[in-house]
Amino acid sequence: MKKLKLIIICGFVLGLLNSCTKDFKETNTNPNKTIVGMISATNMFEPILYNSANNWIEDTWYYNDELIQFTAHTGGITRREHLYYLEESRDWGGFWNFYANYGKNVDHMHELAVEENDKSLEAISLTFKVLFFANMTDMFGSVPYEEAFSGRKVGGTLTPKFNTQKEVYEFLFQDLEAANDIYATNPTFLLPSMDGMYSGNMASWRKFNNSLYLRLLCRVSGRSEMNVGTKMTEILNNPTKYPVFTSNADNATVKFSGSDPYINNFGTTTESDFTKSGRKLTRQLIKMTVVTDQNGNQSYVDPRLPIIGKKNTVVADNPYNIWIGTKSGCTNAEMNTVDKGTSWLNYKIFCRKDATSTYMDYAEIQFIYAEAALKGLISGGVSAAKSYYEAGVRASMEKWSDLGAFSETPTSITSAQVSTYLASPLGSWDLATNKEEFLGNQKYLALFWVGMEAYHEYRRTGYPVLTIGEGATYNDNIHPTRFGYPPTTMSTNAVNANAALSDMGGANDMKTPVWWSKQAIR
Amino acid sequence: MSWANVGNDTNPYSLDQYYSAAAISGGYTLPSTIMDPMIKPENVESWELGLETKLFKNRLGFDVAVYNSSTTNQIIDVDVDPIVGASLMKVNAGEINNKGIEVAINATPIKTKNFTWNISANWSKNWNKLVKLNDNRDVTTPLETDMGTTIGGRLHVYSYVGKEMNQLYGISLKKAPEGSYYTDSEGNQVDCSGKLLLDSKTGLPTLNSTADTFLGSVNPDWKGGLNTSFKYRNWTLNMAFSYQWGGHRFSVTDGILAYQGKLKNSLEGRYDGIVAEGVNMVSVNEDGSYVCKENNTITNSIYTYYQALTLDRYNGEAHTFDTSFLKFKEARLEYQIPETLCKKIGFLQGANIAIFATNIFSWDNWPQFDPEGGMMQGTNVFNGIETGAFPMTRSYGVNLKLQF
Repeated sequence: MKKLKLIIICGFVLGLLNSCTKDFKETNTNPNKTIVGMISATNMFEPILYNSANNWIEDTWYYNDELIQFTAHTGGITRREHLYYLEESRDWGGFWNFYANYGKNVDHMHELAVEENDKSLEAISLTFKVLFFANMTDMFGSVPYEEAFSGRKVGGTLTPKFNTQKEVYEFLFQDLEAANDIYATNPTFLLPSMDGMYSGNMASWRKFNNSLYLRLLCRVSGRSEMNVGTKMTEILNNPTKYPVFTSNADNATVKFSGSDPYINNFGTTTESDFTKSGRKLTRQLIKMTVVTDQNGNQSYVDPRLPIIGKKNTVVADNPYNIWIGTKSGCTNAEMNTVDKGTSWLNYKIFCRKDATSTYMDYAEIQFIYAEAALKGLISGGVSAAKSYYEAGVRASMEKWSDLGAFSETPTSITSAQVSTYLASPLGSWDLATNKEEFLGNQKYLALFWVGMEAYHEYRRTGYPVLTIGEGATYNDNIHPTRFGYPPTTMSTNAVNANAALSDMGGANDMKTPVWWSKQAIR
Repeated sequence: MSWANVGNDTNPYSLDQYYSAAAISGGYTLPSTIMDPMIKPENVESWELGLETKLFKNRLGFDVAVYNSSTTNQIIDVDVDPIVGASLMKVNAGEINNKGIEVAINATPIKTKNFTWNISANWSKNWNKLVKLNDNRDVTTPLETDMGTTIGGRLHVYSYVGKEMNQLYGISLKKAPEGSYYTDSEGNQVDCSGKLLLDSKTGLPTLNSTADTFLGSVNPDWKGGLNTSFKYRNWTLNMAFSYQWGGHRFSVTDGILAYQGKLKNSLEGRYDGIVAEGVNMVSVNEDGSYVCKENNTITNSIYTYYQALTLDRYNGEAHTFDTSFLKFKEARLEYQIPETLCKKIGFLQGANIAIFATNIFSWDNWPQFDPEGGMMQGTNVFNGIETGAFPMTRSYGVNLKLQF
């Protein structure tokens, strides 16, 4: 009996020992979730495309338009972006995390695509990577590129070193070349129905890739060591090797179907939240789009303005039914006065479940060529610049004309109206005294609602010349030259971040110019 | 005397990396947390030394305890820079130390045939310290407890390595720096460092642009409770109090109500402006201190003065308050129906009737409802910030208990 007891106990103990490690792996694997690496690249595509497109216009509305004085939140003091009140973790961190987050997913889509030999998504990953990284470096200056996203991989680093903006641009050009080479093999997009931008048409993706190339070249064109003219000329003269956008049909525009979850960022935003209680069109924008005669009458209006914006319809505030802009950077004391009767964004155009989001459009290409011709980077000189310019305006007008259909009273812009504009004091090339400034101003208008582009371009060219309001005290009345590195970066990667800052020659603030900016080159 | 070493594990399925499913069906994104397959369990090592004494036939009792507990290998999600491919990483990190003392006294000062008075009180004090954080983290940057997006960069609850945890930092109004002075009407130099700086033209103060003014510690200095009961024949009166000394909290409720002008504190000067107490800067000395003069400018905009400056909801200094309190938590008066009466009724073994009230009073400096209300986010309570906490509800009642 005693022996039997002993055997039972021994058996029990042995059983316990055994079960300790048995099925360890299986027990610790969640059966309801997918382990990283077990999906195909196509599973990554839609969230990247649609969600980033929505983030894109959110930032345009929230930051770009306020910083660059398309709009100013003078309907109250809850938002102070137009006063340059930008918080370290919320605003700086918000941008940093946005680009880094999409960057990491794009990086992973690239890994998976390479593994599966999915050539189309391999190329698209590279194009997207450039899109996110270019914006990241434009916002922050030096950023980690070579060692980015390695933290979750074996042997990776949690403290990536930063690359200078020049290095980042050189890498991005390599990525664009590599992507263009893959596009040239005409790969097949496996599930065209997923592609809310080009329906799987790889020729269009290729045009986007190379158009982005032009945008980046233009951005660094002030840096003579980059030899931008040579590459631009090569692209211009070689449309078979480097096809770019040739019409608005090629625009990098994400289309939302309007049924959940494919809904535009502003699909359910109310007019009050979107514009009426906050963001109003500015004096700057009205000044650039409306001609006022000697008698004070608004005699001519840029045909895009009634599509982008909407007059204030409160008769008591706007008795003469005119376009009134608010003062960006106003002080708290003058807020009520300057906000009175001011124009709104055209809610019906932007706040639709199936409204689109544009990464880049055809007009921008023409403006890039116009500037390059004017500055002698490509051939043709002033006369070529004029015709590129006019093509750019025409493209921009056509783009907004199509959207005019969604206005309260549907409008469109006829070809004759465009010609009138091009002869008017607002749009006439020949009447402009300073062609460079004129082009900068016109590009600014054409970049309305295109990402953070107007903000980037302002720092590059200095146009349009903005009036910084007395109330914009949060950055000591200095237009933010860049966004600072967020607190997480400064606390977890201090050595590298500080090295990058001293390399850029400034503190971690919004006053240090980025490498390609006018201020840095001067 | 006791010693304990306790291990703690983490959530299941914390070894592998899993995709997050996107709202778009079939769409996936990378996880935000980097997992560590070699993660170790948490470890809490603590010892406690206690002494319990009873004197005078149990009429007086003391209970004193000191403790020290050290938590190491904590499993926490630390922030990593998203550029490395994730925003969090699960690690064994850090060491938090808690030391403290707890004292309790029980006494029965009066005990006669018909009357008994019992009193018991306790008092405790805790010292905590963040001993270390995860490796390769810059120690000059504090650990910040996540406070959600509404507070953002204008108020921080920081814990510095080597220091007491949970310290409040926020935006304040600009003050005259150390060593500043002004000359009064009799020609005396008066030190005015720390006084409010006001613009001599507008009469308005200025808000600092960064949230780096120390506002106070979240942790109370000490806290305790008191219970007392009086028994006279069949009557019993019980009372309970709780108290706390020290500690600070930022009140979002106060910020919102104040900057919208819904509180009495923006009444003064509403129609004719006020001359705020403070100084105007005249010039700057070489050492950075200011030569000042007393302010006598009337505010040019009382609206700006209150709404955007002194009571601005971004102004952490204006809405952070001491959380000391003394609360009269409960009172209960009970009458035990005499046994003789019960016996007469026949079927009753015993009966008592009581009236009671809870949350009767709170003596504190907290301008809004309850100095004990923190902020809830998920299952975490953040003590440093109060956002729309509900007031305590006072309740009254009658209680009848019958035993058959």
